[in-house]
Amino acid sequence: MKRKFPLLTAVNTLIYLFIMAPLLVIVISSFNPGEYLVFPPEGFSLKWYEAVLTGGKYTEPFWNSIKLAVATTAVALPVGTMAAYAIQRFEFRFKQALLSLFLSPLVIPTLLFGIGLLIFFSSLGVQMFFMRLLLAHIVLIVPYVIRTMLAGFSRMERSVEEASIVLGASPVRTFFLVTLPLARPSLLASAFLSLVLSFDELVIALFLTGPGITTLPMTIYSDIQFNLSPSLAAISSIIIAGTVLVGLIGILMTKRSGRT
Amino acid sequence: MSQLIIQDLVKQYGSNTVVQNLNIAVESGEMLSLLGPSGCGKTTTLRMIAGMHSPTSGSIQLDGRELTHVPPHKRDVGLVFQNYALFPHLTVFENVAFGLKRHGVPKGEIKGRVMGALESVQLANLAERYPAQMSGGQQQRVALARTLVLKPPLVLFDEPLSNLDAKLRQALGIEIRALQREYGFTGIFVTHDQEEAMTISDRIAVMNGGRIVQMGTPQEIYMHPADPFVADFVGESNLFPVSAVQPAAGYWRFELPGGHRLSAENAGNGPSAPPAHAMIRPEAVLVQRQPQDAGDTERQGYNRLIGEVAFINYTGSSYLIGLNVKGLDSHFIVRMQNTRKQFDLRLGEAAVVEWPIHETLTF
Amino acid sequence: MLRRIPPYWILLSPGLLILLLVFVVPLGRLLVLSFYRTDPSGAMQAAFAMEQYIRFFSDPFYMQMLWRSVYIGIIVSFVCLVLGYSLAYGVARARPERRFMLLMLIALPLLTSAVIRNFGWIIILGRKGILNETLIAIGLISQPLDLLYTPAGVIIALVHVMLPYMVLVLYSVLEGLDRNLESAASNLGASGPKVFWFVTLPLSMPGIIAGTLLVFSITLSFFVTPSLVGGAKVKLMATEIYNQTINMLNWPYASAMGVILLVTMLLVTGLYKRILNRRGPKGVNLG
Repeated sequence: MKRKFPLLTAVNTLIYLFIMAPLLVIVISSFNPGEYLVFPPEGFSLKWYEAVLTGGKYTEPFWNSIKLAVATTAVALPVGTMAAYAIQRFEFRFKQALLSLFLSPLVIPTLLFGIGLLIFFSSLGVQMFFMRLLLAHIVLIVPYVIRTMLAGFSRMERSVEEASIVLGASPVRTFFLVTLPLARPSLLASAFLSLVLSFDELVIALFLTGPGITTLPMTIYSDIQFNLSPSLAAISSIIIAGTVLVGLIGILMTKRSGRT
Repeated sequence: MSQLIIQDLVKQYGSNTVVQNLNIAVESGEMLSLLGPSGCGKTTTLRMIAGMHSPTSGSIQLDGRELTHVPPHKRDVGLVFQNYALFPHLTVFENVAFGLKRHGVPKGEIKGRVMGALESVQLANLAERYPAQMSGGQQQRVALARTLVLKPPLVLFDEPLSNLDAKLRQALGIEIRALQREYGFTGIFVTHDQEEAMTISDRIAVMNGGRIVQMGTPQEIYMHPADPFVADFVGESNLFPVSAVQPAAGYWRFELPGGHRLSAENAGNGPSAPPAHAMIRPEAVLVQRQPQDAGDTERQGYNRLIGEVAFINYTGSSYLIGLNVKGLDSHFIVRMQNTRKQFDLRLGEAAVVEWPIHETLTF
Repeated sequence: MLRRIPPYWILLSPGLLILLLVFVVPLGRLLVLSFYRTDPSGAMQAAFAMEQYIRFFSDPFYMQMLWRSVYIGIIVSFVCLVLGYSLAYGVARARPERRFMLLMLIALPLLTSAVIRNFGWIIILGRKGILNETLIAIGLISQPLDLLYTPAGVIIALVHVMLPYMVLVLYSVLEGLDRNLESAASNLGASGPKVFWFVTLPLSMPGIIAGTLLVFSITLSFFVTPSLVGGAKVKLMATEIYNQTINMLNWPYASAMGVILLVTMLLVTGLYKRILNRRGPKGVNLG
């Protein structure tokens, strides 16, 4: 196809610029050597990266967020995969209703869910803040896992599993020997989504957190409001780079394992 | 004693009966086809034998062992799928070895048995390939090897050839028969393709609406179909309703729509119900240009119709000729071998068809 | 075989358990709480009263806030539709080997947290931000524009957050369109714009509807952007619900506002679907 739509190309270039602009601005201003966040930067320095990476206030929230993302994925992935498999492979009553229920956290505003949980946990007197966040994140992430795994399972030929059973593997062994290996691209995609979404989640954290537990998005959120600084730009740039990197790795792995 | 005995097998989904009171006995080493249109219950029957569906009632016995409630992975029944169903994440070798491992065959023995099975389908040189790197025909042969390596007494075939092109289908059909002689399994072959059923099986069970409507050798099914459905489903046919039926000594006389008078043998001993349909196989019919001078003289022992040539399809080895006959709402078709003699039928011209009275089948 | 628990129940039960306990029950509590009373001291009293709802609907301040939220949601959906259609159309018409890269350019920002992206907009939109400086430098304006902490700024930043959703939905529809239909239309003598207007656009209606519904539903209750880019000056439902919950500690009122927001979302999207279904071309499933 030759350039048939010069106007479209020009307009779209501007839109791509619009998409990239805020990310570029953050990355560029993170190199400013001065104490204040200015754009364009008045020099080039990596000192804020050094400051952020060699300790400081972002370290603990960062590890909290990582712990939360990993724990969420560790629970949401098997739970969602099991539910998706049941919905895809078995016939039973109320299946559609159950599926809608499982996906409903995608429809109900997170904000409402946050208040509901805050009220709920307070009335129960649950004080374990990490546990509160973890449970909430699992509920938010499981629908994404189910959706991704449903698509994966539906692309898979049922007969391949049947072949395994007829050849003498029990249904449970078949699930581990055939189904899961074949679902690998979807599993990777689910894990990736889960890690990123859980790591980035802010609203639920604002409602449910308590003393001692701060996640990285919360720290960044509060710094944006009260403490704009080049080190904020530096930690944001690191997250941007990390997300892009994890995203690219995820895509490459999904593509490669999808091929064989 | 028969090897596989199916008794009063019934499968219902809610109020919908998919398989009704099926009774089949298959001899050891026999190949039985279940033939019928989609939705006739043949696949459901096969899946009940494999254990993928559980029957509503009835029983399935293999070598005197009650299979009905044995879970599918403990049945030792082979199943070959339409879409091959190879494990895409395993090599050909691993695919064939899969069942052996599940059956606890010792490691040292696996390699020899896998290669043996691959050799019998001429694929030993491709053992390290992945299924995606092979043609459809090769994949299906791997699937055969994967099934046969376990030496199952019974192998079920679920339309295994229908994803292949015509030539390959024929070749693989012959190969399956050869493998059956080599391994000695009993086979059940599900298909909707009557030609495939005829070439591959010792016996055919024609199914319709969840029942077996006729069971017999391919010759019996083709030459003596039990009812209009079988006549129509198996092979090409001219099938017409008949009226004004009169019995005569050893014959029926009746009229086709349009008032054409025909005769058929009344093979039954004693009084039988008058037929409602007549059927003539297209290849039993002789067709020629209507001689301009000839009168309407009927040859003794033959039926005769006059029509106008509506189409002529040349297929190389034969011609398929369709005639418009007054009163009939479908073409009267004739299959004529290409005898290399001069072919003198012309579109739109009148032609005479004749066939021996005993070639008129009635139901 | 023994009669056992069906395997699907075993597979479903962990998810169901978590969902019921941590999702359904808390939302039920929220609904119940929205009918509680708040006494003058601010403490809540168990009751079944419409007090909170009456307070909301009788106060123009809150009604305006609701309207502002819906209004901004509609504008954001529309702007996203225009920009997103242009992008999705461009990607669908690009050479296949470039499509993936173009999609990634759009999707990767989606994966970066909205908090960080809004941070970028704060740098850009401020009175001394890059946008104002540039516009003044090229002489387009003489006074800096007020963008940060205004509805305009919120809309810009929201469009940025929502655009990838719109593009991904539209692209999946545009990619599936049979391009032979467009060729057939031009063969029959339709000009480029006419082909677009009478063939491509109607056929992509399902994507347009799904995309705008998705963007509107998320935008209406989106908290991060109004909170960061709008600040205290642009009062929207989402930020006020947060304020009532965390700062005012008036949970019954916050609950009622949440319920009102959810019902509004369902009403607007339902109405929208209904109008389009009536007007939509026959044979196109507007689900």
